[in-house]
Amino acid sequence: MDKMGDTPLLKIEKLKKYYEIRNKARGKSILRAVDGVSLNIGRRETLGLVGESGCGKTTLGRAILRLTEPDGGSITYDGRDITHINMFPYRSRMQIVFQDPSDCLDPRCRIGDIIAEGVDAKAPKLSKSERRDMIYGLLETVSLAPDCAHRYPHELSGGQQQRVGIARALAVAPEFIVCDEPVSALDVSYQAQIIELLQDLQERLGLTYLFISHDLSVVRRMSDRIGVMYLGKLVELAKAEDVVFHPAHPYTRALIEAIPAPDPKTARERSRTHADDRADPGIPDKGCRYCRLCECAVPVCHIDEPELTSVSPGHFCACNLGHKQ
Amino acid sequence: MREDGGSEILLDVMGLDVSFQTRRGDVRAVNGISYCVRRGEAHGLVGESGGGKSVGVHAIMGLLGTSSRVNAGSALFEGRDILRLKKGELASLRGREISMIFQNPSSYLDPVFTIGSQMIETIRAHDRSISKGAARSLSEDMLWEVGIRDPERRMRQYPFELSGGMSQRVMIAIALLCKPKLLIADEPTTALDVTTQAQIIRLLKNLQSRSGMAMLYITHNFGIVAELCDRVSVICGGYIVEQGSTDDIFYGAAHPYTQALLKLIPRIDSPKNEPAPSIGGPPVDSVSLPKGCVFRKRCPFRMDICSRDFPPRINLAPYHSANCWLLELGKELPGDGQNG
Repeated sequence: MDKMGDTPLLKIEKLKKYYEIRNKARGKSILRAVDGVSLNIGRRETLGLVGESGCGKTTLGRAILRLTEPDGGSITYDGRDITHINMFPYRSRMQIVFQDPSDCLDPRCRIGDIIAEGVDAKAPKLSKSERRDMIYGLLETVSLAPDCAHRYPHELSGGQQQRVGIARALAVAPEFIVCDEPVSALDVSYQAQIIELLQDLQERLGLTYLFISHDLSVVRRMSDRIGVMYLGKLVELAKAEDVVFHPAHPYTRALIEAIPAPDPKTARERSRTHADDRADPGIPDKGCRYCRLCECAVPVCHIDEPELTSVSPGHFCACNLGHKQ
Repeated sequence: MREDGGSEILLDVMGLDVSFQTRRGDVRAVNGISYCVRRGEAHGLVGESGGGKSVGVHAIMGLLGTSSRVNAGSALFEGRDILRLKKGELASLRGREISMIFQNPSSYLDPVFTIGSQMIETIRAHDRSISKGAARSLSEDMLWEVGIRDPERRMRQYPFELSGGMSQRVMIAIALLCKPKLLIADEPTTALDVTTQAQIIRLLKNLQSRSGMAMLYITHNFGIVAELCDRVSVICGGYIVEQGSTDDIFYGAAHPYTQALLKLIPRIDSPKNEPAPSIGGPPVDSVSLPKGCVFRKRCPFRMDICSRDFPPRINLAPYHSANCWLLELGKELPGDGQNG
């Protein structure tokens, strides 16, 4: 982990984001979408973030960029606390790629104009031809033909649209990109191509990624380290290999088991009993958030909420049983 | 796993050919595909998006728009050709004998009605003699059956109040209300995350083994096929290129396209530095369908003959066949070793 040697590019501490929910029947309640998450991301590192939908991973990604204002904790970027400052100067350094490319590209704008907005923001004084070359260059960077610039988003396939989403993020020459489920909406064969593109760009441009996905097999392909989130908390954080081959948290193991078996033999071996899918956990008032679904829960799990602690060097896990299981 | 002969044939699709008229010319979406689904069996239709797998099934259910045309073929359901049924006859078949679930449940549930009223309406649309109260308790039972914890409360909720996985459970419950003999599932888990996907797959498997209903499962994910299906048809560019039992396909894939798709299964245990698998090149453009084999532009083993004629169907084992010139010419497939 030489990448982790110097000061991290991004450091978040006890970041919180709460939402107030008004419900006619049950009155006001607080949804703790992100509840005290701390982590570092080193320069040129890819940190993967996995968890099921609703666990707060997207909220965390947006809170880091202050697209949604955090309710507590701090964000330090490149040595400076950016939790409360005006984000404008940082917008060109920190970018985001969204999940569904067809949703986030303006259907009335040509591809060239979509990318040009970023180019104009970064370099407003370019001549016409310089500007055009810049746009073509960006399209080339993401392996799209220059004539795409004159087309509309609906004329492109899902994979091509996602390339435009990436080119748009790159237009301001950022160093850090939050990739929020960038391949989940794509066909399998396009998924592989986009992952390859992102890896290639990281190498060429020295980018740092926060890569968010619900699919552990995708995250693993991309990431140096992986953080596993469950109901607003980080439950495990370790090197990608360790998370996949030596998962410490019961929830991480459940996530790995949820991936469809690669062949019929494995599938048949695996058809054993599972926890009742009816369980609708919600966040318990006290204790571990996973205790109601956890197959190894002991009485203490219903009382004490475990903190993220080290189980081996560089491997952190929030479980009352720690590494003892 | 069932023996190869299997049970009685429930749905027999033969030579189905569907095209769409567009400004760019006729899109030949489905080109004479044949497959059959047996009673109590799960049949997988596998291929990339744009391969024609959904169109081939929607055509059978009469769900395609006016720009489409069924050029040829038949689809016998219990001996009756459903492509030639009158509108009313088809309507009484749909929902009662054959039900369907879709990829995006939230867009198939009506946003202005509660879950309960949509379920009661479904039951009463097929059988007026059932009272509202009886329909309500039937619906609640069915919601419980598909793993919903508090049916009474859910019945009063609107679709937007449900999560994606919950909506898909409701869709499945509605599809099963009339105890269909065949359930068609069109990528029902693609929009869900992996944990919910695993739950839905387990649910479908359980329901199928309990009720003995047959299932036609459309997907691009071979991992789901491994978990769920007894038999598989692989579709590429509107042609079926390989057919066989799930074991035949997984352990003896004969067509290069099938082999390529199998390599796309997301695996957690593959070495990290290995390049991400992909099938080179874009999927087939069905407007200018090439002469010869549809996969040849992307095929690593292409030969001259592949661009001249569509390869014949070669039987490899009982109920296992593939359309590839390599097999006809008796050549060993270089990539075959790792699957066998």
